[in-house]
Amino acid sequence: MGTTPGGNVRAGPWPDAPEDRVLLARVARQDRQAFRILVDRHLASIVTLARRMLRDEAEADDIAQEALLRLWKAGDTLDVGPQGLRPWLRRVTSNLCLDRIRSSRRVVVTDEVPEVAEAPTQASGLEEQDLARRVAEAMNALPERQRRALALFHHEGLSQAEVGEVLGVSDEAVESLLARARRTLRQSLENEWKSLLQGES
Amino acid sequence: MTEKRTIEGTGLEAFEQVLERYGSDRTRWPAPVRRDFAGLVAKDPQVKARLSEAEALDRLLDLAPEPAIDTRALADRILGAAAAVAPAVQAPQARVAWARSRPGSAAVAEWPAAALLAASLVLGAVFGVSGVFDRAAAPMVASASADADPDQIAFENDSLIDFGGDLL
Repeated sequence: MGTTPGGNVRAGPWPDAPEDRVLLARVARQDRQAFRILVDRHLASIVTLARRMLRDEAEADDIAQEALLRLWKAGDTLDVGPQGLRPWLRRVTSNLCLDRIRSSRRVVVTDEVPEVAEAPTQASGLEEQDLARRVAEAMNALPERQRRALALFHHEGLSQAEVGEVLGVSDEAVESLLARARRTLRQSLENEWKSLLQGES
Repeated sequence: MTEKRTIEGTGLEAFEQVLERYGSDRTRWPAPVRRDFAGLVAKDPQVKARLSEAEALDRLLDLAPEPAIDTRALADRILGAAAAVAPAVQAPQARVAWARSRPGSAAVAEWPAAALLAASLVLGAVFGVSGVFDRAAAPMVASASADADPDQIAFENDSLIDFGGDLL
């Protein structure tokens, strides 16, 4: 079993699998092996995005499935655009999540899934792992809505308008949440970002 | 949605608000904000310093680990759903093993089919020009065409794969 950086478990060992565009051409011809490789490669990313947006594990999994089945069913009509497959999948996923939110107008979900940060493994050395741990601690200490706003905007790349839709707040409220989150993190991680700057000078 | 600008002023304090709200990545700033602060970084060293600090903070945020998710069961479910949606063409085992060991060599695996097709086109042109084959083989060709599946091309060493018209 291979593992992606960050600890998410992949289902298949595809260390030398072809790049996405080659696999997409095969998926267009209903090649199930190629589809499996793409699922293993991209599923964790879109599930993470969907869970952050919906805060409901089961619904997020449904959305991720729907996004990938759209890829499978598109056949040779699929056009992922110049940015490639992952941005396309993430865009489909976020649009499906927004549709779900709009149709239900649900903000707080009964089965909220708290994010449990994996031990940082993508960092290259012990020092960087320790730094990643401190960043995770600082983010976990933020009020929940500030943390969610920042995760959706910074880590998932949603626009402010989309973050507002997910959280059920106005654009101005999103700006306020992001500003307060960054202000707090700037203070709590002051030693860390100053060390980064000194390391570059 | 029209992007709007909610920052008042264009000085250092306003720039700090921009960095707090949107981060250091200028591609994420609303267009009016980008326009209003376009030249400020180059002109004002304090502004440039604030931008560097915000970039350092954003790099720290990039280090935050992602939540742990085991997607194996979901992947199996998706593949099962895909199997129910449309008939699949199984990739030949030899091709999958090759694909695992030789990254980027997908194009090479396709050439036997393309080469055979090209060869048949050349032969067809030669015989067509000479006219001899037409008279001798017409009955045989007619018989073979009636039996052939126009949507499939079978090769000795490959499983059947529906190329349709996409080799041309």
